Amino acid sequence: MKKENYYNFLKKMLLYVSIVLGLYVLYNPHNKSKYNIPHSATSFIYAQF
Amino acid sequence: MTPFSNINFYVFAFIYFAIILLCKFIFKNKHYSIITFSLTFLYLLLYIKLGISAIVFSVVSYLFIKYVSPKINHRLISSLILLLPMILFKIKVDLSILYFIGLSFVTFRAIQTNIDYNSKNEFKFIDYFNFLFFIPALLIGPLDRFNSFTQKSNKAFDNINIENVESGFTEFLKGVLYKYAIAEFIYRYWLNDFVFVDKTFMYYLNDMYAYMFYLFFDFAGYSALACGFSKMIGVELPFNFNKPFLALNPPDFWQRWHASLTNWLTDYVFKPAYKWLNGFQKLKTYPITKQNIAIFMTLFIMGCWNGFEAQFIYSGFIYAVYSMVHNTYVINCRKQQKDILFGNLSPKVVKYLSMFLLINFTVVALYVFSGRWL
Repeated sequence: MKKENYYNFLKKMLLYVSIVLGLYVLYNPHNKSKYNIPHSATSFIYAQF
Repeated sequence: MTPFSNINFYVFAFIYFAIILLCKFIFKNKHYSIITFSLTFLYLLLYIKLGISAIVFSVVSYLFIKYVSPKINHRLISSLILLLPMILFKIKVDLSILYFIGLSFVTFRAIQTNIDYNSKNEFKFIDYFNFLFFIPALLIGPLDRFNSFTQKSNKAFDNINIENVESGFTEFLKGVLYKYAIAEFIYRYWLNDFVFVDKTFMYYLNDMYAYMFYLFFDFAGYSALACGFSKMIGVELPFNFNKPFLALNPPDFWQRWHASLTNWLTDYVFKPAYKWLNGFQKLKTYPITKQNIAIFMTLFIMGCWNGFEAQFIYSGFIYAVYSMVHNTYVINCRKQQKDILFGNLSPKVVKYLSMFLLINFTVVALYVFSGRWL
């Protein structure tokens, strides 16, 4: 595997792992934190436009 | 069902993508505009609140641009007429039947089409409609231009291939990471969780940085979702964000932060304003003043465009002052053929110092914009 391909592969893997972990931590129903209220739908963009 | 706001939209987006792929093979790379038009029309009608108002706006503005605007001698006047619904919305006049989702950006697109309209060129309603309401970019851009969008749209089926779908999907995933993981995380655990008992300097400093990173990831994430999805369906939109925290000066920052809006404002506010100021005899011998007035008008309008609340007006004013000071400094350096303040430092130090100064000035301006200090 070329060096460039290797980096691209690693970058993509990092992206996938971050998404899975990030979304799991933030949105899983067992997260009982008082901040576990998704706000994305009411974020700045939707409020403003 | 606002674009990218909930799971229903993603189901819709998946179906949209599947239909486009299917049509590519059924119609052998033809009729992209008609298919997009039909899907967008249905989306507005069925899923968007006041979608019917949006459709009426497109018909009225199309007829206006094609038949009325050429008879009005000055494009500025006809553009102001098109701007009217947005102004009424911003000054909060109670005409809610007019205020469909994405009105601001749809108005920008209509104005751009009006200014660049040439009766010698073909101007089809379907192309105009697709340009106004292209679903991925409906809410907040990126802002494209009518001619460029129509050309891309005509070749869209040809552009749907494995490489573009894959790179679009990667961009889309980057958007998911930015918006739904990083921005969400900052919002929940940094903007809200950092509790200072008193509103000290440290409280404001923390809040400023938290807000800047939150806004960046939220907004850049949305743009990446829009760009990625549109690339998957064959249309490459202009980029909006490109590492803004590495910017060295205000103009560089605006080329990296919401770049499509910056380019739009440069072409349709800054350049006409500068041309208009050129007509003043008294300003003939003051090119820096002319530039600064045009810069001020552009950035002040950009601030006020968000609304006429104090936070937006002040932030527009602050952005304008930054850019004017930088512009004056650069011109004076050029005159003296040296960097007046940092000439003795090594280029590398100047580069990092510029980045540091700019990011901190930006943090202040964005914090004013946020209104969190009110």
